[in-house]
Amino acid sequence: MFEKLFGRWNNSKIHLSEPVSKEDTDLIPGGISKTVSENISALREMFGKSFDLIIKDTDVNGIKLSFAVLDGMYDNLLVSEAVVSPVLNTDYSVCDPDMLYEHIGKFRASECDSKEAVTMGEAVQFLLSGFLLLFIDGVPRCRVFSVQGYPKRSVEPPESEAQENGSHEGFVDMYKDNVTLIRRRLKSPYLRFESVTAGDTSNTSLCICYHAKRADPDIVNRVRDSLLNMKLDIVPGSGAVRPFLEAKGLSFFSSVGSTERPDVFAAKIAEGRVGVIVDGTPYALILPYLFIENFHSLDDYLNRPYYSLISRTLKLFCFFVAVFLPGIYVAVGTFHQEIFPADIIFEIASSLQETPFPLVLESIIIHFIYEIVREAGLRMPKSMGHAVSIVGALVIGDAAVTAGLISAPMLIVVAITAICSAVISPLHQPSSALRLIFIAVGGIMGLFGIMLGASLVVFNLCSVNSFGVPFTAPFSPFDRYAMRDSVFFAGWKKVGKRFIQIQNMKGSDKH
Amino acid sequence: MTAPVKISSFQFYNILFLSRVFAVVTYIANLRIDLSPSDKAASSVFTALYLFVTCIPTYLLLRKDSQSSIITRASCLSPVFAKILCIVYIADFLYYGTVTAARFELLISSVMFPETNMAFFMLVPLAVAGYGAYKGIEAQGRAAAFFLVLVLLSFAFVFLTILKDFDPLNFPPLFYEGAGGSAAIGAFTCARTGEVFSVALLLPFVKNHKNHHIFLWSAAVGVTVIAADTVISGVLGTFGNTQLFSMYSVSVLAEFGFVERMDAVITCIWMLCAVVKLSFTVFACSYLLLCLFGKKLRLLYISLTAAALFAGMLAVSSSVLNFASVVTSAFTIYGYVFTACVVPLAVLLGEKIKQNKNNKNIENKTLISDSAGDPQ
Repeated sequence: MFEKLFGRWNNSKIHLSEPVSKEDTDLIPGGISKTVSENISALREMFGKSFDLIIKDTDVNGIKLSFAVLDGMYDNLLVSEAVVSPVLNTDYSVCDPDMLYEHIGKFRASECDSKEAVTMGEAVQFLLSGFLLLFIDGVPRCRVFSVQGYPKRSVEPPESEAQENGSHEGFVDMYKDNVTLIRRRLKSPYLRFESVTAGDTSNTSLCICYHAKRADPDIVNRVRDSLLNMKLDIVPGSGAVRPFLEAKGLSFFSSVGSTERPDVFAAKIAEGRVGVIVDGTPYALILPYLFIENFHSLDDYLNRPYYSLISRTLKLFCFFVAVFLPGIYVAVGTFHQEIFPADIIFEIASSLQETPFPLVLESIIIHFIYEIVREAGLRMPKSMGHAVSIVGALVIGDAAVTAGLISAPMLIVVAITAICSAVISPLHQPSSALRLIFIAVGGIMGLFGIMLGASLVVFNLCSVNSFGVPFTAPFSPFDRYAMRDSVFFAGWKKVGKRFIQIQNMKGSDKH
Repeated sequence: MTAPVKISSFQFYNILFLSRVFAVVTYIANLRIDLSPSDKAASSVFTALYLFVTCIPTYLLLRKDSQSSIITRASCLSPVFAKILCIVYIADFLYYGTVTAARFELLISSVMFPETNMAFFMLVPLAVAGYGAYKGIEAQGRAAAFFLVLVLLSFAFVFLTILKDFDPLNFPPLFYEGAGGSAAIGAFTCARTGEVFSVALLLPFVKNHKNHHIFLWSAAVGVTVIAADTVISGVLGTFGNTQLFSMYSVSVLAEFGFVERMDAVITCIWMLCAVVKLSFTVFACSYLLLCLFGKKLRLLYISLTAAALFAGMLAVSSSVLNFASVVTSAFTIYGYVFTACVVPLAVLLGEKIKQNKNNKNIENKTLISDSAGDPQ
């Protein structure tokens, strides 16, 4: 009976875990036929009733030809001027199919990049990427022309990493444009861009970027292996790739960095890091990544060093406030009132007397409301933004306090926390989760629990190695030279004197 | 036994330093002998002296070979001896771990939250310590560096804010009733934790070990102990004799600006040090269990150690008297001397005897071969 039960369970599991579709073009059987009509029929069968498959049949010197392209994926002018017109105007002397095939590739359509597909799978892959296919009767191969011209976003200032002094160019969704943006900033022949395809169904292009003379080959190989061994059906964005590159073990913090700025990306690559660009997303991944880099911004490097010290210290302070302040407030208000002088504690106590909930519950409720308002602000249509702001500010901010549902000091704590968490946007996710945990722990165990929780987080943080580099470097293990760009930036004159490759930092595998 | 993950010598001694600091801040000197403030401060000098002296056997052991652990070296002499040593060390670590947990429990139950359920409260730090041990000595070493900064800053902060209450008149003539009491308390304080023998045990986890670091560590601990005891005695005077945790009492008196008490700061230091110490103890025990049984069941070993510590803590901390009888027992000193001094010297002696035996055998063989090759 048990066997039957487990057998059924296992079967159902296998059934469920099977991919929904197997459209991987590598799996499309067969080579390209010599007969054009057969190839076209195969294409039509594959694409079914899709209206965007455009096929044009013609003949040159009595030889049948067929062009195939996907509507909206190509540049009209390029197709007519650089491919179709030269092909149709081929000399009368070329009358053999193979000769015509070679002649077109070499002489006729030489203005745009052309390649050759040998199997139907390859041809379809090119077609889906916006290439124009040319089938010639009597030739069991396919000539493909790079005529892509689909609508795309132009280079715009990065939205998530606005800077005061930096460039106004941000990454775009097209990964080839991003490659150009990086090339323009690192004019080095050792800069490498390797292309990898991921996603069984989406066949998304990924690009591994590194400096061949500075990046650790082991790290490059490990990144390449991780990307090639990913089990993904589709790659909706760089966030889907990130877990495959992160350090093993559960952690609140990501050991893979992300940026929308080509200048930041280029600078990291020059430090010997490896980058991953995912087609269709303007966020590039960087690794190895250090915890302290969450507090760095491009402006820190472009402003005066003393100001970057102030800016980074503020960000660190904001992180601690965002994570610990509500928890400490709850802990002190519940268990350790003696820390504050009598005046302050009386004020807090009197405001707590007027609210119906215990401090911990009140804190959790107000934080949930804050997170809801934040989510609404992110997801809702922009036209509704004012309505939510009014509801958030008036109903929660004012009416809840007036009605005696929430104490005013708690609202101040939440407001400070919200502002501080906005300062450290790369750490928003862990700080939100940790904040709620520390509120609960502070409410149950007081400062005792907060410290134990903090110890746990520190152990967790210290156990992370990002591709062999300690996540907590250069603080622990301490690296004197790397400290010149940690909480403070020592200035370009000093930092430029001695270049440190990230894989050679103290405590890393290579050191 | 291979140890792939290695930490720097600084990180290793940092963990040991924090473990010692925990013993300093949970100072209960008057459990056995009532001392004057001067004598109490003087006892810390004795502690530093004893610590320095008890480091010498370990130093001699390391001077000969600073790459192999004492267990590996003992197993070269005799595998049975190595197994017995493992059991002795496990017992020692469990004892010190239990005392640490019990000391902490006592602080919370008697001073901070008298009406709380201590079993739950102690389960949490042990779980955190177990997590730290599971993450390995590398994570512990890195975390200890952060904790060290916090501990030193907090110490400095509390001591600076309390200095206004420091009164030299609190120090009566030194050794008015003889130096015996100070010497005895110094010995108990020194034997309170077992970091010295962990040096010889966990060496394979330390990269680029320098043998003289053990003395630097003992000097740093000595300075901290003397500074802490002097400040406590100077601030509290004879009132300190009535306090179970005099360091905690000092922090209650400290105030800075609108913050009227610093006990929360000191409690936080306690917690950080306790977590480091307990996680180190759990890690060391799990390593010893691995040496003993050879099977890589880390999670099981860690859970067993944490459970043993929890049970021991419940038994020891059931009452202050019970705790006092355990902590002030003369066996604490005997046990410490045995593991920190006798065992390393015994291993050294065993190696010497074995080496002499081998030399003699080689000499005999050479003589035999010489006589065999003699043309007579």
